[in-house]
Amino acid sequence: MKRPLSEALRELVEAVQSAGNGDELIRVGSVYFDLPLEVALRRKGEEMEFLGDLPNWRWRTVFDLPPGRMRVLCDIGDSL
Amino acid sequence: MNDRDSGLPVEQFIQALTSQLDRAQDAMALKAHIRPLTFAVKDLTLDLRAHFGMSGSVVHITPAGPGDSAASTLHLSLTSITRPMMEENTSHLAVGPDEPTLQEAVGSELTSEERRRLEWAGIHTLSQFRELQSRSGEAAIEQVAFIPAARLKAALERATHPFVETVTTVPPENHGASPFLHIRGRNFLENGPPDVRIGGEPVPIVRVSPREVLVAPQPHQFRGDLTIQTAPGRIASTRLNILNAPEGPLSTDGKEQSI
Repeated sequence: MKRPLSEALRELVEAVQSAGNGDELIRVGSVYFDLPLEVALRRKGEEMEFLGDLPNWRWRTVFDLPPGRMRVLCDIGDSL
Repeated sequence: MNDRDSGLPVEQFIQALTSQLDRAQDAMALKAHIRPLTFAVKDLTLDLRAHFGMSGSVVHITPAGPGDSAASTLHLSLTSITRPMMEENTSHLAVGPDEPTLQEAVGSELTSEERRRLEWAGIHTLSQFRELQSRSGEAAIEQVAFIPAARLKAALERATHPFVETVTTVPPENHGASPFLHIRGRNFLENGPPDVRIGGEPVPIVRVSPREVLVAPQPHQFRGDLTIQTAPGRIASTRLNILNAPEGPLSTDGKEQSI
């Protein structure tokens, strides 16, 4: 079962947070991901939830969703 | 019911997507308050494999399924809204310090998801809600926020109900008299002064404005249910339990205090 896109995105950004604890003199300022992404819609009550997640397996089968692409630029900035 | 649905009109598809991104950004923004040097998503592009089709006059998007090699690609480029961008573009939507939020005004009349959809449409406060409703009518809001017009009407009706925020005692001007009760809230003045009762008994009103009522309760009226009614069916109710209820008048007439 795929996760909502927000969870996958949070986890991704979370993964780079641990790349430093804030008191280093030099640290990574931005990270750019270019990843495969499987998407689907799921009915949740009256709403449609947007599911988006990385593929589970490296080797694809006919049962897998055709992956799209997600490119994310994360940086330490004034983004909300 | 099928877990996976066939597709959505373009606007709803994009709203479902941006709601996920908002959710992720909200969580990250929360974290940024605790840890200042926090990564945030600055740019996001998505190439989604999907099918496009017409249903009536509406374009539908359906994500591609397994083994679907003939799907089209939807390329989306999303930019996160930064604080300076927001400040630059929202000055005309400034909210007065006294203005209730949509949540305070409509209470449980709308679900949190419905309020969120109104916020997408740029409606964050009751006055914006009313302005748009009077300018464009419920049908327009219904179309933008996907909330049935009848529910919007009910929410607006609910927003005109009186609402009590705080109740405090005000010391009397002359010694020995009972203190006044100062009730702050909203919508206290409709066509005339409201009917204020404590424990079912009417309480004399000293002063009233849309945001406050000053009443002069009897010494035994500092506990019980306070109700403020502005019109039939428009009633605010709260339980009073004033700890520093007057002592003087009680000890002189020896009446028991109603609880």
